[in-house]
Amino acid sequence: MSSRRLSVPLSGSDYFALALDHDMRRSGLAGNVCRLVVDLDGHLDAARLREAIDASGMEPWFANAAYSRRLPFIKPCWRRRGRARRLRIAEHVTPPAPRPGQPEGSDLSLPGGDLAIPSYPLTCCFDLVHRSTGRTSLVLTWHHGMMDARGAELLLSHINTPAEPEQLAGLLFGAEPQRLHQQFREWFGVVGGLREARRSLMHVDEASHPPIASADGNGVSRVGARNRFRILPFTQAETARVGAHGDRVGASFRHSLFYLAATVRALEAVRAGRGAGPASYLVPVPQDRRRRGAAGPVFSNRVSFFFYRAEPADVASIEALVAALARQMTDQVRRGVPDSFAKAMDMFQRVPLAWYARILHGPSGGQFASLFFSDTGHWRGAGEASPAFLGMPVVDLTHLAPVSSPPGLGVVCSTFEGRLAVVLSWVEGVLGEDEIDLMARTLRAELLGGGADR
Amino acid sequence: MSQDPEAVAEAICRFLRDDILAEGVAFDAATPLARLGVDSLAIVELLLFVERRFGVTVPEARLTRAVLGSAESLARCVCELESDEG
Repeated sequence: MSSRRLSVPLSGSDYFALALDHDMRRSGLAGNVCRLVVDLDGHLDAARLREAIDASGMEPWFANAAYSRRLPFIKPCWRRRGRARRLRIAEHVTPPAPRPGQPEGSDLSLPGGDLAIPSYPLTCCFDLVHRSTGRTSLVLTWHHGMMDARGAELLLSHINTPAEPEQLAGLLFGAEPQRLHQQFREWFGVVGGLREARRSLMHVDEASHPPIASADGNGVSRVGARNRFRILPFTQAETARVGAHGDRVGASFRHSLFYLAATVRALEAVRAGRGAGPASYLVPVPQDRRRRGAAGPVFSNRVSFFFYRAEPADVASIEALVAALARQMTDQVRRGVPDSFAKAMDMFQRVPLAWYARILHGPSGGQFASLFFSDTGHWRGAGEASPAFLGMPVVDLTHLAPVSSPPGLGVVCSTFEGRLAVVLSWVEGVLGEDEIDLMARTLRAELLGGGADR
Repeated sequence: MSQDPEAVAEAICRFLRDDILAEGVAFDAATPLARLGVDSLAIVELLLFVERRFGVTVPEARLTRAVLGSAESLARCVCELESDEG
């Protein structure tokens, strides 16, 4: 397989991300666009970055991939356009004006407005934000339809350490993609695929019966609203305390479920402040499907989902909630729910995008989740010994994920150099500043084990 | 009948190689699982494999960092549980 090939099939999770993007834009939001902010201890200029991108061999795909469907009801694919575009790199200088409670490296405000947001055609771009301290924040902004968070980390790793040309295609795309005649043959297996997919769809149907708790009021227009972010940083010592408290409440190796439990209880504190009645929490959690220990594939989303439901009785204590989530995780792995949902997303690729977005929006008016949650885990790069980018030490790394409305609230956890960071993402108007303060306070207290400070 | 810890560790390594890890990842029974990128989902898959293959359910109290550190340490735990049950 050559990295010069002209098309690769979409994954089911690419199409799912595109459907979410469709839904976000229809409701007036900016779209399913993600950011990875890498704070470097040094000055990185555009020429040096351009040189590294050129050497990586990744640019032809990332700057020129376009969505295409050759025939109705045949799976769509990414096609490389003939005209070679370059990835945009912009430089900015920002004064040292961090927002309260945020380190300078996490401040994404820029003179003259926000960073660029890629739309159609889907692509990614780079911004270099030069800080007064002599540091540079490298901001990778990309459309979620083409790549997931782990893929973004791998992309930077490969720009940092270019692969051999003969390895490039495998790193970019993974296994050999299906040819058109294989796709036709696959059509005959649709019935079996539907049976497989049905298992997870039934699980989602059972898990999503109302009332579903949410921060988002139904029927409120979000046209023109922005995604806002707040970063909750933890020191190494605090992160160790979080780990110890996770063990105390029974999370054991399931750190992500502990973070999820703390998040749910923090949102419950906000709902309690509003006087909301008891309701269950439904949280889809993405799970990386790449083989462990691999430095690829970079391109395309490689995720499926777990679907957790927390009943009001579970939410009453962190121990009960962690235990309930742990049981559900094991049960879903045993029943093959993530594999089955991957098949379901794969099947839905045959449905036109607007229909798919409508199906997701569904009879629940889009209330298919109480919040979006993900844990990108420990930053692993592509296996480098120490975190550095183009010779400069990486001092911090932050994932910023967009959120649709509903649910209007997302939480992303990540760990870098033994330091946990939790990023709250919300749609303007869904939560007030006081409520975000309460959520941040409660979440910190739940994680650190100091009890909910409400 | 109680199992040989080495044989159990070998079966766990085979499962990791066939079902969890990417092609070409070098490891042995003593390699820390965290270093291989084995996350919580992979650990659950590993525990369910142990349940299917050896008929042993590792209780919550035994799911410590020490037990889940490597294929070797998990194998030792499986053998201890087998002999307890036997």
